Amino acid sequence: MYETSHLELFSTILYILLIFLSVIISVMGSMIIITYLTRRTIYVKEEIVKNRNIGIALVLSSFIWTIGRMCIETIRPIMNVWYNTYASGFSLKSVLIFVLGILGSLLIALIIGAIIVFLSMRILMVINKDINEWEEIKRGNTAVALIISITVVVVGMFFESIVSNLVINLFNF
Amino acid sequence: MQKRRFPVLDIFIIFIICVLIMYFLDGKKSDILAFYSDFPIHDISEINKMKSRANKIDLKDTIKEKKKRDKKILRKFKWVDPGRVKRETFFFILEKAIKEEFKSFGINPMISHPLYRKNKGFKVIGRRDFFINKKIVEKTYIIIDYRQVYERNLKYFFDLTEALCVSADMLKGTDPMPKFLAFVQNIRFKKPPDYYKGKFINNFFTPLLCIYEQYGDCDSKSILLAEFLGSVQDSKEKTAIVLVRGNGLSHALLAVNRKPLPGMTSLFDYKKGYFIIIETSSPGWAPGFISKRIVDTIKSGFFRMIELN
Repeated sequence: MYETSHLELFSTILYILLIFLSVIISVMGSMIIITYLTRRTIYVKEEIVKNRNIGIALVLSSFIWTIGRMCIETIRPIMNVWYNTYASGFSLKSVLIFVLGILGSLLIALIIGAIIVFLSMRILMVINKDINEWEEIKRGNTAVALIISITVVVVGMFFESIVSNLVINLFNF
Repeated sequence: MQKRRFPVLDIFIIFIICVLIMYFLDGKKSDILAFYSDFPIHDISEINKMKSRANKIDLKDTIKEKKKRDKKILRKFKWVDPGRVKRETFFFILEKAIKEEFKSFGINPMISHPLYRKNKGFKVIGRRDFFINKKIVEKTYIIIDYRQVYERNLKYFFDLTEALCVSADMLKGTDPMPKFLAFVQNIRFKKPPDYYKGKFINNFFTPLLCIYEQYGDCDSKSILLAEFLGSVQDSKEKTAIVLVRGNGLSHALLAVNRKPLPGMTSLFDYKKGYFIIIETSSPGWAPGFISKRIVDTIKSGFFRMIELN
């Protein structure tokens, strides 16, 4: 059963679909999170495209990286479930549960990514009370942006494996 | 003329005398009836009696022996297949097979002869000299000869695999791997003891003992799955055991020579091709999916692959 060509085709399609979903969720999610964190004082698109603000671009890319990694961590557990579901045979119920599981897993990745980004930003803000990070970044202070983005990426790396384990335990449908 | 009476009494007396003579001659008619001493004549009835006696004894013995030989031990397993269907599998294991397995696996650690160890399912993989109390002491490093264990146990597993196939409602032509894997994963995970019935077994149960005891650890369960896969009808499955040791981990996995599908973890051998790695310790893992920690350890190169067939 595992060596049939259609399984390989379906699995590849699903794998690519999951990667695309991860990319979309990470980019969209990052945009939403950065807008929420700056309390709508910074127009991200305008800053990047018109003002060529490298600081904003750096922070946004670190958000995308972190949430993207979280989403990619969910792909392996989803594929694991896919092969188990395929082996047992499909029914409408199992397909529905599987689709809901995919959405749930990616949502969990997004939520955890957002929490990590928020937490790392808060940590920096608590440590440096006398500096308004967003104001500095808006002014074009690349150094502050670099520190923020590195902090977000590093904290995200620590939490990557947690996402994978959480998805395995919650969505071993 | 005096009428002569019929000599009944004389005939009776002669008969009694004859009987007595016969009796005193050990009752062996053959000695009397023999014309020629080199050509003994046996009474047919006696031969028949002897034969029947012998037959009776033989029959009883053979029945007893057969009963002993054919005495089967029942083992019941409850498991859940990949489709979440609860199943029950009954295995009848020959007591003789179990005894044979007890005999052929496990060593006395005091006997260090390599040939003895080889015959008992172990092999020496290295030696090292130590200088202890002004004496050079040689220490040998041994591991279980998984290949030998696999090959020896294969003969017991044709029936057991058939029983598993029947209980799992497996259709012909379908891949047995998912159901076999689910069955093995559902066996209780418990580390076997160092010593089993007075023999050193290095925390490993051979597949038959694993079924008999109804538990096993990572390597015991991996070999068990390999046995099931190898004893299916027309099986051409190439299997290997992957021993992972490093990064604080000591684990065993099964590798099957198959093409990996997207997302699966696999090993590549330049002669044999791809081997997908299978986790048998706990339920829920599909073929080719293992813990990230183990993946990292394998990527670091802390593993050893032993081919089973």
